[in-house]
Parts: sequence; C-alpha cells; structure tokens
Amino acid sequence: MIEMTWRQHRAQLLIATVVVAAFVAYMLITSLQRAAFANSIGLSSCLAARTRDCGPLAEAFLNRFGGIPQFYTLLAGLPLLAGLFWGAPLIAREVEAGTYRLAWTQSVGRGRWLTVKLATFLAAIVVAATVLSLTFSFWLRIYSQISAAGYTNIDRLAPPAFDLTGTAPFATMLFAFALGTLAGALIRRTVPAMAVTLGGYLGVVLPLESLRYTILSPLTKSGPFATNSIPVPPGAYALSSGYSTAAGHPVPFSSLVQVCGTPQGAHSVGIKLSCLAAHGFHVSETYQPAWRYWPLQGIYSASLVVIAIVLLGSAIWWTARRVR
Amino acid sequence: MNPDRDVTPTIETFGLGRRYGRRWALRDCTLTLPQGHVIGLVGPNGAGKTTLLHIVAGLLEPTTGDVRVLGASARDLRTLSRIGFVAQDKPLYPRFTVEDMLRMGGWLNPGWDRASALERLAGLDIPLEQRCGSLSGGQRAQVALAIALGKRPDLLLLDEPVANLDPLARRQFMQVLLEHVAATGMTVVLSSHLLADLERVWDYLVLMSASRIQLSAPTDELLHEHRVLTGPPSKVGAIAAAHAVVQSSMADRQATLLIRAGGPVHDPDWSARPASLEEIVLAYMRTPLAGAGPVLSLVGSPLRGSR
Repeated sequence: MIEMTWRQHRAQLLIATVVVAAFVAYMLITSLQRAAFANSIGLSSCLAARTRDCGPLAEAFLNRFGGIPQFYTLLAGLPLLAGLFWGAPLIAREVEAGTYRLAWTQSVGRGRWLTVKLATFLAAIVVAATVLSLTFSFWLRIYSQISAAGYTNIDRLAPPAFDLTGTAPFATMLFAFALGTLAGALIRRTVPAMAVTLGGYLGVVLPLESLRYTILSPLTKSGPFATNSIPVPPGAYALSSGYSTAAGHPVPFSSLVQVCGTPQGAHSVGIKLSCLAAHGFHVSETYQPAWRYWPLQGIYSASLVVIAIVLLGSAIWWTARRVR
Repeated sequence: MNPDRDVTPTIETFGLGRRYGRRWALRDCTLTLPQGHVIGLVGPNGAGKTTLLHIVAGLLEPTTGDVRVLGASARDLRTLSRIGFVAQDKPLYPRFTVEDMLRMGGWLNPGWDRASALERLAGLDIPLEQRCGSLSGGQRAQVALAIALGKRPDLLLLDEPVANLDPLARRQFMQVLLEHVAATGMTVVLSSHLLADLERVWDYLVLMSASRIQLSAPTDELLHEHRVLTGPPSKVGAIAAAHAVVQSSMADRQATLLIRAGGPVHDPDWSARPASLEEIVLAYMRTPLAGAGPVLSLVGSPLRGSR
C-alpha cells in the first residue's frame, strides 16, 4: 500500500518538496547576508562580549535590513496548502472520479488504504514543518540576539515568528491537513472541500492567534511618566499599553487630555509629560514575557493537534463505515 | 478447490434495502444465488442493480437487511480479497500507465496473478506503457477486467460491463471473460439493462425492476416452466386458476397469455408454445411484482396494447 500511496501522490509530495526547498534556500541566503553584515560592522562580536553599548551597531543593522519582511507573513500561510492540496483531494478526488470503487474493492480494504495514506502525509508534514521551523529559527537568530540585548522587540514570541518557529508549523499544518481530509470525505467533491478547508482554517486559526496571547494572563508593567512609553523586558511581546492613576485605576487617554492638555492653535492639544508626572498618572504596558514562549507554543500547538486528531478520527470513521 | 462441491451460496441477501433520502433504490431484496453460474442481473435503468452490486462489493452499507457474500460479511477483508468488481464506467487512474495499474494490483492484492494478467493484455495488443487516460473504451474495459481477474476472485461482479462498448470490443470482452470462467469455474454476476447483451452468456437470471427482485432462477428452469398460450378469452379464468398468469393480452377474439405453468395444459382450445427468454423477461418487467410472493392474477383486468 505504501508503494501505491507513493505512486499516486508522488507529484503532490515532489511539488511540496520543491516549494519547501525554495523557501529554505531563500531563508538561508538572506540569513547569511544578515550574518555577514553583522560580522562586518562588529555587531556580532559586540553582542557576544556584552561589555559595551551595541545600540548604534544594532541600529545600523536594523536600518540596513529592517525587521521580518512582510513576505514571511505569507510563509505563515504555507500550512494551509497542506489542507488545500493534500487533505481536500485525498478522498474527494477518488469519489469524484469514481476510482474509489476500484481502490476500495482491492484486498487491502479501505481502512488500511486510508491509514497508510494518512501516515505518509503525516510523515511529510513532520519533515516539512521541522525543516521550516528550524530554518526560520536559524534565520531569526541574529534578531533574537539583538532582542535579548534589548535593542529591538523583534523576536520569536511575536507574529509571524511565533507561527514559523517551535511546534506551531507542525500543528497548523496537521490541523489544515486534517480539516481538508474530513471536508473531502464528507463533501466528496474536491473544489468545494477546498473552499470549506480555507474557510474553516481561517475561522479557527485567526481567533486562536489572538487567544493564544491571553490564555495565560499577560503581565503588566507600569511606571510614572518619564517617557511616553515604558519598555517591556527584552524578548517580551507587548500586547497593549494604557494609562492609570497613581492608585492604579485605569484611565482613558481623554482624561489625560482633560487634566494636562494645553491648546496649541485651533485643532491640536499638547500634553506636558511633566504635568502628567506631577498629577501621578502612570503609563502601563501589558505583555507576555519571553520565557512564556514555550508554554504558549505548547498550548497553541496542543489545541490544534487535539482538534486535528478529532478531525482525522472522524474522517477515518466516516470513510471506513459510511461513505455513500 | 472444486466449486461444484462448495454449496455455500455465492450471495445471500435477507430483506436487503437501501434508501437515499426518501427514495428506495433497493427494497425487500431476498435472494440466494448458487456458486458456479454466470448470473445475469437484468432490469431497466434505475432498477437497483448498481445499488445491489455495490452492497455486495462492500462499497455501500444497506439501510435494512443483511447480506452474506461467499458465506461471510461483505465488509470482511477476506471477502474483499475473494471478489473482483468492475464498476460501470471502468474507473482507472488516468495518470497511471497500464503497467502501473498492474503493479497496483500486486501492491493491493496478496494473491495477485501478474503473469496471466500480462498474458491477457498482450493478447489484446494493449501497450503497457500507455497512460490509462488515453485508452479507448474497449481497452479501458479490458484493463479493468484484467485487474479484477488478476485477483483470482471466486466471485466476479460486473456492472453493465459492455454497455458503452462497440460490438467488436463487446465480443472481445465477453470472450476473455468466458475463457476465464471456463478455466476456473468462477461465479460471475453481470448486470445489464439490455437483454441482448448477455443472453448467450448467462445460465441464471435475476430480474429487477422498480427497486425489487422480480424473478431469480436458472434460465433452463425458466424456459421449462414458462409457456405462451393462445386461446379463447372466455377460458382465461380456468387457466388462471391452475397456473400463474404473468402477462395477458386480448386481441379480437383471442387471448394471449404468458404463464408460469403449474403443470401441463390439457384444454385443446389453448395452443401452447415455449416462451423465449426475451418474452419471459419483458413480461416480468411489464408487470411489477409478478414473480414475488403469491401468484398475481391479471385475469380480471386484461392488459391492452401488448404487442
């Protein structure tokens, strides 16, 4: 059955290999460019030594390369392709083309037929997700070092890096694949199954993306108005900022304007930091600290994997017992 | 294994039914089919033939009733390895070459007989390296048959095997099939909506219409029992009392009856002749439920317009 699976799906698996390899090559090249630049200006050695201020060097680096390019947000959508092009057609195409009547009347039976196919794609998902996760972590390394020294907030806890590192690529890919497989088994037509997979994936992953940062209650750091914001610890992901009275009651920005605002011309109002500080207003920042990276990855990934197992179990049950 | 000594029915069904929404595709199907026959499953389109074959092949779960195939459950893996099934449109993987399809047979079937499948295809000049998507209808049918036979099944199920084939491909298909049947004694069930397709092939007939089984018997028994009578309309009642009247038609002063005889017809007013298989099949198809349960009398309301 494994030979059959390979013969039938080798094109899909080879195309996926090419796509993943292209991303990996691109990430390696751009990563090496960044590393070479960081070496040439002495940023890497400065960060390693930890004896002097690397701020200007870090700034030079960030000016040269910026943060994580927009392009990587697209890469975070790659798992969806496993649902659209591996999952959705897996059963639907057989039913649509009528070949299920050939495949499921051979001696292996449809239970093993499906299990072997699922296991093969599961292995492909493990490999693809691991490669993507490790390569992107390697790409992000220099940013993590700058972030650890406190010169940037670009790190693995914030999206899209959170989606491209750790166990998240595996979990999202498995979920998309499971969703596609079940949609294909139930709907039995490839294109509608792909549409349902797309909708279902976005419907689950987008809410989870905000939920995953609040499932462990965020920490708050607040202090008097010395500057207009308060720095979060290195590597932390800042969620929102707010204002409070000295007693700690949150207040909206309009209260600050009411108390400390001074009209400047007809349409604008200025606020003096000294006035805010004198009235005892505090500025606060809620954030997830860097050390919560793995707990949050674990919770996010585990919930997607659990959903995926339920979906795959349903697809196997439905196919083995009920189809048509 | 000598199939003549194996008395397990090849297919046994009890009150089998399958419903799609509100519509019954198959109802009250109770059948016992013996081994070692070529069984024709005949009926008009939509009669439930495909539904019945899909249930027997384990592809479809019945809504009601039960089915035993070769003495076991249709969903049993051992049953699956003992049956061959060729679906109506001869599904093959269009991107697979013929060679790939034969390999598939080996990958998915422990008892795969590659040598004879190769021999069969070589005899038909079907190139192994050709993609299945570009085969002609006749070649597709032959490849599908070769895969089904390569499993060395004890029971072969063919759904409308020659419906879309030209006459030459039809003859070739039947020739390959019958050679194999002669060599192995395998049981075959083939469905058709056309009597002429299969007439020379089967020796057992199952007739379906309106989602039900109308008739199930060996053909020689059917030919032996059924007769066409012509005689005076006034004496139709007497015939109906002694025999099962399947179909009757009145023209002028003459009644024509097709009966399943309960014994010899002695009345000299009636002239009797053997009924042809085609006449029998058409008669049962026109009168739903004629063969099921108690004899249905049509004497009170003679049918008109029968030719």
